[in-house]
Amino acid sequence: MRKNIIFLIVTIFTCFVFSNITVWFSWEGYDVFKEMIEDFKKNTGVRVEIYNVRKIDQKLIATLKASKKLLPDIVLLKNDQIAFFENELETFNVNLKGISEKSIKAFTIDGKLKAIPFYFDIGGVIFYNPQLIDDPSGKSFEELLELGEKCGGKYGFMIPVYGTSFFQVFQRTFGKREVVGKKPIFTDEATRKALEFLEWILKKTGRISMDRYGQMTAFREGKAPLFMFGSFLIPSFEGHVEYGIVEIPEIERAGKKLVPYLDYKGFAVIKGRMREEVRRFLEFVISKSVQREFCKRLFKFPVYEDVMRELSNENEIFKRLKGYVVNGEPTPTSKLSGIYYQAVKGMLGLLIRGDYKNLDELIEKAQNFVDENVR
Amino acid sequence: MILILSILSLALVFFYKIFPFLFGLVNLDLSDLESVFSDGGYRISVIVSFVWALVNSLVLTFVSTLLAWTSRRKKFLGILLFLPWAVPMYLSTMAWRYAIYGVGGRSLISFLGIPNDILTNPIVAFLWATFVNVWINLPVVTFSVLASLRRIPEEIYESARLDGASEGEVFSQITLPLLRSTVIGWFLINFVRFFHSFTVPYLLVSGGPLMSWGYTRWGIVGVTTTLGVYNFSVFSKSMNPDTIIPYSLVTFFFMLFLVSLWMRWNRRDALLILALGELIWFALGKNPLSLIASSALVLSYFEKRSNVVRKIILIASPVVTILSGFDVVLMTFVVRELSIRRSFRMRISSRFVNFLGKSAVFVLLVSVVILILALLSTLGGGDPVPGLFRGIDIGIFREIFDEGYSSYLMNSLEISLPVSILAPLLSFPLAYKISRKGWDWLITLFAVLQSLGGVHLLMVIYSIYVKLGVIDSKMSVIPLILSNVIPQVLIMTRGMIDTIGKEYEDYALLEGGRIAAVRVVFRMALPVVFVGSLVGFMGGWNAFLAPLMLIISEWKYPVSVKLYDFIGDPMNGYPRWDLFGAGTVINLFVIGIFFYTTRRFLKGWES
Repeated sequence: MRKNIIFLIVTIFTCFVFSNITVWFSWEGYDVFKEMIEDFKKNTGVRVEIYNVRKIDQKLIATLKASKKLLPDIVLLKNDQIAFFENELETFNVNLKGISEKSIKAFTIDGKLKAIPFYFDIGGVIFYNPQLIDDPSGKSFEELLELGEKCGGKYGFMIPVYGTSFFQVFQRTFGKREVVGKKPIFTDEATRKALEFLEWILKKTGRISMDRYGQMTAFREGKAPLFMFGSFLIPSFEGHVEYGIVEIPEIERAGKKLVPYLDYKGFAVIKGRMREEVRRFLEFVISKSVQREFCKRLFKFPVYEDVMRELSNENEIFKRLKGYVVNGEPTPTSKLSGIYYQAVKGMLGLLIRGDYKNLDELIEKAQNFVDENVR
Repeated sequence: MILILSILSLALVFFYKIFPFLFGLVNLDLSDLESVFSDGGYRISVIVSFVWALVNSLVLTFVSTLLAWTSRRKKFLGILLFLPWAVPMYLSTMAWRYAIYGVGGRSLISFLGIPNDILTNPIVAFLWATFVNVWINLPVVTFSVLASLRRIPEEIYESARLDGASEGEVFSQITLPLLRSTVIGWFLINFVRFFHSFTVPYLLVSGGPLMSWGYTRWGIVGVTTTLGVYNFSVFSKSMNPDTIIPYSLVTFFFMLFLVSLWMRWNRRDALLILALGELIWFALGKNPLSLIASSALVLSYFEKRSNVVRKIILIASPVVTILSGFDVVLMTFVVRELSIRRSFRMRISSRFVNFLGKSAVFVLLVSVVILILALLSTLGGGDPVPGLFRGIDIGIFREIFDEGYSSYLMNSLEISLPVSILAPLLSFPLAYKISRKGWDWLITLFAVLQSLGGVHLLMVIYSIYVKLGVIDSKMSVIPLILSNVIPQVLIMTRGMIDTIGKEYEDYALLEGGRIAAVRVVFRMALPVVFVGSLVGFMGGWNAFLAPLMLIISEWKYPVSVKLYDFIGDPMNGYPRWDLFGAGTVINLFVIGIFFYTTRRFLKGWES
């Protein structure tokens, strides 16, 4: 009898202590994800606590410095954040058959896979409002600008010139191969041309760039005919405004199609937390069925190539966005991406204000900042 | 018991106000200090802080004096200043951000045709940040000036008028000179406080916008990046005690310099303090001119009568400032020299004074209306239309509770209730001791310690908490808030105990001994103990910076931090102004209940 009681206590204790997973989730889709996890909970009996954590990288830095006891088991991170936490994360040695190479590469540092890819968003997608203009697909970026000016009234073609993440879209379109690499370089020809292009846009439209919330709201209210932003905004347009997606345009000056950025999100496991329950959870969340459901409902892009194909065949929006996916490049997976974004922020801030003598001054300031901080 | 509680409250205040710097000094690696001294961004932020503090304290002092003068015989001032006084600073700042910038620049302010581009235009941003900061700080300074104004005997004015003085002459020749000590006192207090401002420049414009000279190789400094904002950015980027402690200590020494200067402003030894300050400035800029200026200041201290050196420094200061980029200490010297000149007299016409006063009242009235309208326009649900009241959508109140708002209210309650109980409990015994033993120096010391705090102090407290393993806990925020509230409650309680006649205590002492005597005083001071408890509650409920820096897990946030979380930084994130509006209404409702309770109680007590 006593043995049975002890066994029971040990079993209950084990269930409570070990069958408990803590997950930090971020960005869009918290409610959908939570709902989908219910199946896993029912089937396995594992308790999963999911927290919706905003500014997940900052929270992770703070928690790592404060107390490792407060860390979760699993955390959803962007590929450009993963390098910063490289030493705190488990390395995966799993078979990821069917998952696109781009996505695996996005989470690989020095040959080590640091997170399981889950989905990606696209930065640099161009939306149009069919109530204000006909589908302008086939026109170049410059022509879209003209079109926006003609029928956009106060808003025109809204481009996130202030957006630090979007600068890489222009850098790459003008020929930049590695945005960050071993050290961010701003003194190259591609960066200069990208800056010249943005300067030209600002002068042509003569409009001070609005912040992203302002642009997003203006498009949602049906005031702007064209809007360049991220694919993650699609669910927020649904039910608010009629919208369409312009086929990926070419920038005439670059002689090349736009190169959007692919913003990958993947599940990483904190070092020392790779338990059986964690493995089973990861297997569940990266299963094709979960990917399909999650991505379809939130207009995210699955990392499985065949799931992506299926979604493109059955949904017009995914079909339109396929061109962006094919041409897109992952955001830089590097410890230096934070410094890169800061340098770009300063450069664009001054560009928007017109507070510079010439573009060389902006480039020099950005490069000096990088040189001082990358030592 | 009284002694134990007194020691406990003293220990608490000292632990949070002095110990962090001792901890910082002990854990400081001298080579880390070099990282601050070679950080050009930090140096620029000191310059920004100087300009910000000077402009804000000047404008605040000027507007407060005008308002007090214009409304000295009227009662409407209390009603007009109620909103800036009652609404916590973090809440007003965020509400002002919405009223000024709204959605993508579409706001009530832009509708009125007033420039509102606070995200990219540095001048507009600086002016609006100054406006909001002055607006929030108006009530305390205005009421203080008003009290001083009412103490000036009416006969002085009457005899001046009999001698044929105009209203303008009365104001400039009598009122201003008599208010001089109050006005300069407030100017100095505010200058020290604003030097490390955080809430307004950060929540309104995130320390921006950037100017060309602010984009340095070391860091990016905006036109409102004060020391508080700069330190916070260092803190949030690194969160590493080794990195943040040196920044904290250098800022502490800078604050110590300013506070010492404030206390010795009119004395000759202020020159020696300035000479020391110039040495800190030399460490930050490595400019030999700072060493020369420091030596000259020492020399001027030893001058007997001629003051030649002082005059030379005064003339040379602008030149040195231009040559060296900007010399904050020398410019402080110039401000001091100008403020202590006795011969300074202004001639202002009465019409002009009246016009300015009425304009200030008008702007205040309009600003209150704008803020209320802006807040109401967020409650219509969906994307808010700034300035347009579209009714109240109950759905957003439902949504905010679905977001777990009730748990954030509970978190705030968990923090503020213990503070409300402990604040009077720990303050009363110490206030009793101070009153009966005449330890007035303790009050002065507490005021000085209060001025030394800010983001830099919390950075070291964060490091201590990390070491103790108590970070990210609501419980650990409570004693910190208590250490901020105790000095306020102490001053109130001590004032009350002073009014209680010693004879009651003596009689009780004869009848029932020491304990009975204290009990009598406690009973008679009960109303102020109750008010102290409410002050403690509000201190805990409205605490923003401490939980922002010390609580990491979102689900442990109090309401104040959650409201900030709904809208995030400007230019960064997707603000939910509808949820912010609904959350603010609920929050103000709670604050309103406590104001109402206090008023009812005080009325009962007065009758």
